[in-house]
Amino acid sequence: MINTEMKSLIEIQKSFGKAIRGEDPAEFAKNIIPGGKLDSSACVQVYRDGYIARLTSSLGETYETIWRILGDDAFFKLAQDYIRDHDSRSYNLSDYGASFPDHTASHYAEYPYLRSLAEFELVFKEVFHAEENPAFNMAEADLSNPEKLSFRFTESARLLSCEHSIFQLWNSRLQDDFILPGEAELNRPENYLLFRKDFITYCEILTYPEFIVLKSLFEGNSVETAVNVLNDSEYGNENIVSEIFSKVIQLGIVCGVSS
Amino acid sequence: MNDSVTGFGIGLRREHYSHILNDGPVRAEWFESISENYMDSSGRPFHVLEKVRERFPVALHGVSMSIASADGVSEEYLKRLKALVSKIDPFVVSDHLCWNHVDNKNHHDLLPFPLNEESLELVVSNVNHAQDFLGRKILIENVSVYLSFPESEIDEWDFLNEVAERTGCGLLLDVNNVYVSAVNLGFDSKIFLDAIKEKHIGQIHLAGFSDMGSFLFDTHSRPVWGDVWELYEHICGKILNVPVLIEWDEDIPSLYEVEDEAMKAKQIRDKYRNEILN
Repeated sequence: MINTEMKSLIEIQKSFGKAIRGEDPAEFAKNIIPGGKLDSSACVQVYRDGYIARLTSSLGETYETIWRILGDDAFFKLAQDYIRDHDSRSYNLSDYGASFPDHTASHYAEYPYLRSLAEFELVFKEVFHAEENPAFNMAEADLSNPEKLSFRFTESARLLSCEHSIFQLWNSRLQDDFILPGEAELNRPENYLLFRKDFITYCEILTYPEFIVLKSLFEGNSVETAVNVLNDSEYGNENIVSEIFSKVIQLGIVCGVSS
Repeated sequence: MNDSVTGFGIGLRREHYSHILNDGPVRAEWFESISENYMDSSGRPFHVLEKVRERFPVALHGVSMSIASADGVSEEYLKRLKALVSKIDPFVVSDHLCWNHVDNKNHHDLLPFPLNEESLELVVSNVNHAQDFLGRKILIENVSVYLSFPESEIDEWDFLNEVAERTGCGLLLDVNNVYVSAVNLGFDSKIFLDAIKEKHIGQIHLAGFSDMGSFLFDTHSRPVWGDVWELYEHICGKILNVPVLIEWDEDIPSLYEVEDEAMKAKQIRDKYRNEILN
């Protein structure tokens, strides 16, 4: 039976929104005229199902390896739990799911590598969509005091330190013979430089010394500061800095140099 | 809005990127892209859109402007859309007569709302604001619906005409959506289509729905149904110089198959034009 009390537009939209998100759909269903041969509850469910399907699809697109590992049923359940607790706040559907790695970890604590994998997939998406700045021509740089140099890196480059070695797992996600590595292989930290060049996204696996030097440089510090950070660690070795210097130039991820 | 594009287009979909970028033969005369896919991305999809734009006219079709939202249209959304428009120079910018956000929560759907004086004033205000901000006319599309509201007092066709009349916006007339809504809500499609004023029609959409048994579901996942082709033929007289798009968003087949639908639309209109003019 339809409730004949006429509501304002904002009241209707708030009620409709709540129904779609699973909050008191019955209340909204009392105030609509269902279409087709649907009853009011089924009608509201059409919109609710669509909402869940779209957000699940967005999560699946970002976290496709998590999906592959868990399989359809488990992934859809994980996604539904996430959607229940996390509203979408952006008009851009692909923005959805920034805290999905934490959510995955809380539901699968016995498989801690899943958090690392989810974090990797989130960063991969960021790099995929980021702006690719033109590489700096080092011939234009003043190299008289190289230790004073600091770098600006392209927006499409990111560093990521993971507690687990998940790159090979991620890299084989589309293969038919996708096999989960053993715990011993997974339970080793791994550090990555993800970057995009000419619209192709790459991943370099870094040693920990390389990672801490690059991290310092990414933070805008000078080469001298990065060397000091390295020397203060157990990995002090100046040769690494010049190797990293050459590497980042070669990779084309430096878009500005200042001294 | 550029009135020089009058032919037959299809949606730009990633499944077809390689073919188009490798200069494969293309029968479609223009492409439509979903604005939100490119508004916040500088990755490969945007690069592809720029490359496509070098060869073809492009229409930008949004799904999140939320023109009927009581909360208003997002300023951030308009800002990013305007930036995209300035980069791509589309011949049409469009969105839907619907809402999707309330209380800072987005539902990523084309949600219906009651059609009455309150919502008419709101939509007119939102459309005027959007057009002023973007500095151009936009087109508003009718959506497929699965419910209606007791608060509705205005027929959808009259509502659309009134919005267009008061704001100067155009209408993107989706013939498939008219049919789906008509079957679901029990009105006559031809009454809707005949009532829409020719001067407001800026673009036509054709698509394929799914028959769920208890209702028609607008899935854009198959060829255009026969009944929808008949409706399209019914309105040919008032859309002879309006761009027509085939929308296919799910279970997307080859480019050739989607283009075959576009060419069918062209044949129907050309036949009508020849029969009338001769």
